[in-house]
Formats: sequence, structure tokens, C-alpha cells
Amino acid sequence: MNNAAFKQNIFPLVKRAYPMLVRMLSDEEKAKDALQDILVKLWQNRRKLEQHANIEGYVFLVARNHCLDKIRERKKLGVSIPVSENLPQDIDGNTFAKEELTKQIYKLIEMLPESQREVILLRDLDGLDYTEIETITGLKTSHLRVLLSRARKQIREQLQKIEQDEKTTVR
Amino acid sequence: MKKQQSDELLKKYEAGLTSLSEEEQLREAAEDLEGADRTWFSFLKKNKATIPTDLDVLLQQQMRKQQRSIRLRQFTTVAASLVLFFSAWIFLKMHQNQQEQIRKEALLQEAISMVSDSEENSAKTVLYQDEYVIIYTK
Repeated sequence: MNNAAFKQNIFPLVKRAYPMLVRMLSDEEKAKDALQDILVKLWQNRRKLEQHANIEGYVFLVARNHCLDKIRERKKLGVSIPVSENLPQDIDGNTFAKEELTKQIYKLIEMLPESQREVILLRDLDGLDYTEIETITGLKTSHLRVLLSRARKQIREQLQKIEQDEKTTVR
Repeated sequence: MKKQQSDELLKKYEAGLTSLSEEEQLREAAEDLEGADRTWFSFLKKNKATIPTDLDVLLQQQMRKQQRSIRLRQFTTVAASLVLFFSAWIFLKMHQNQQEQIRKEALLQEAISMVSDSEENSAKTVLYQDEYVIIYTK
């Protein structure tokens, strides 16, 4: 793969992996640094990349593994970032209640079984398509859909419970 | 988005059957949804990291840096090879010169020894000399 082909085919994919990097590393600057490292890795493996049947999936897999390595490094240093604090954005406005709700939603995601959690994060927050998630997780699309459906139902039910509890408390 | 349309999409979404663009539509229409759906899609809308505009520049810079380092590595390899080649050449040349010097010195020594022999002989007194034999004293 020459320079032009690399830029044309790989750059857009690397850019698409950015939301996943921000989520996993919980820092935009760290995500940008990681993105550059990933680009270098992909460039060094461009010959292998060319022959890969699912280039998109491979790029996301490299990105995810890179993030996991970084997280492991941080854990070794004693710095851990729970999923619930990964992203600082609140739902609507800056009120304390909304921030709390955001934290609650992250906790709900964290409470999901690992396979469901990974799929819902990759799909709903990182915006990856099923073929890309297939390569990352090694699961088939039909299985992914089932996991995603279960996770979404679970989250919805829990959110409905939270809303009901809030209404009851207000009364 | 109309309620009927959003309800259909929500059903599909919950079954894991929506496409990425349909999911994007739901996120965009978060404000029109109700209850848990509104909360969830508002959360997704706010928490999905947007791709910064300067990311392309960053990637281009990284790419240039990478290519520069490759060129530098190639240049270093060629330079190191040349240094090695010239060092070997100089060493061989010096070795050859040394050998030549030794050979010349040996020849000189041989010549000197021949000269000193004739001088030695001339100092002797010849007692008898014919066609075949020379008899001399020290």
C-alpha cells in the first residue's frame, strides 16, 4: 500500500476510531496521542493491512488493543478510570441532577454483563458497524444483535425504574 | 420526526435491527422522544465524542514525521554502509602498503648482506687461485 492509498483508505478509518479512543482513554489529548501511535503501527504494518480481508475491522481492532495496553499500563501505575467517569459530558445543561443522571447511566452500562457492555459501547457510543464489531469481538453479527438488544432493553428498563423512583420521591 | 415513525424506529432499535443512520436519526430526534428513550438518546447524543476538525492535520503531520524518520533511517543506513566500506578499503590499502614495505625491506637487507659479503672477501689474502679453486687466508 503506497502513501496515497494509505491516506485515502486508512485515514478515514483512523478518524472514525477517535470516539472509541476518547471513551476508552477518557481524555481527548491522550486519544489524539494514541491516534498518532496507531497510525504509525498501521503504517508499519501496511503490507499486512493490504492483504487483510476486513481492513475496517482490523483498524478498529488495532485501535482497541492499543487502548487496552494503555489502560493496563495505567493500572500498573495505580491509575484506574471507571467506565462511569469516562466522559465528562452531562445530558442536558449543567445542572447537578443531569450530571447525576449521566453518572447513573454509566453505572447502568457498567453493570451489564461484559459482552453486552462491550457491544453497546462499541455500537451506541463509538458508532461502529457490525462488521467492525465482529472483528473486534470475534462474535457473529447475529449474536451481536442479540447481545445489543438485551443490553438496550436492560438499560431502558432501568431508566424507566429510575424515572418512576424520581416521580415517587417528588410526590 | 413523527411519533409513529419514531415508535417504529425505537422497536427496531431495541431489537438491534437499526442501521447506523437510523440510530443517528434517533439521536438527533432525542428531544422529540419521551421518558427513558429521551434520556437515553440525549445521553448518547451528548456523550458521543465528535471528531475534531484538526484531526486531519494531525494525521498528516504524523505521516510526514513517519516518512521523514524512514528517510533518515535509510540515509543513516547508506551512510553507515559507506563508512564501513571506506574503512575496510583504507584498512586493506594500509595492509597492502605494509606488506610492500616489508617486502622492500627484505630485499634491501638481502642486497646489503650481499654487499657486505664481497667486502669481507676483499679483505682476505689469496694464497692460490686457479680455474676451479681459490685458497685464501683470513
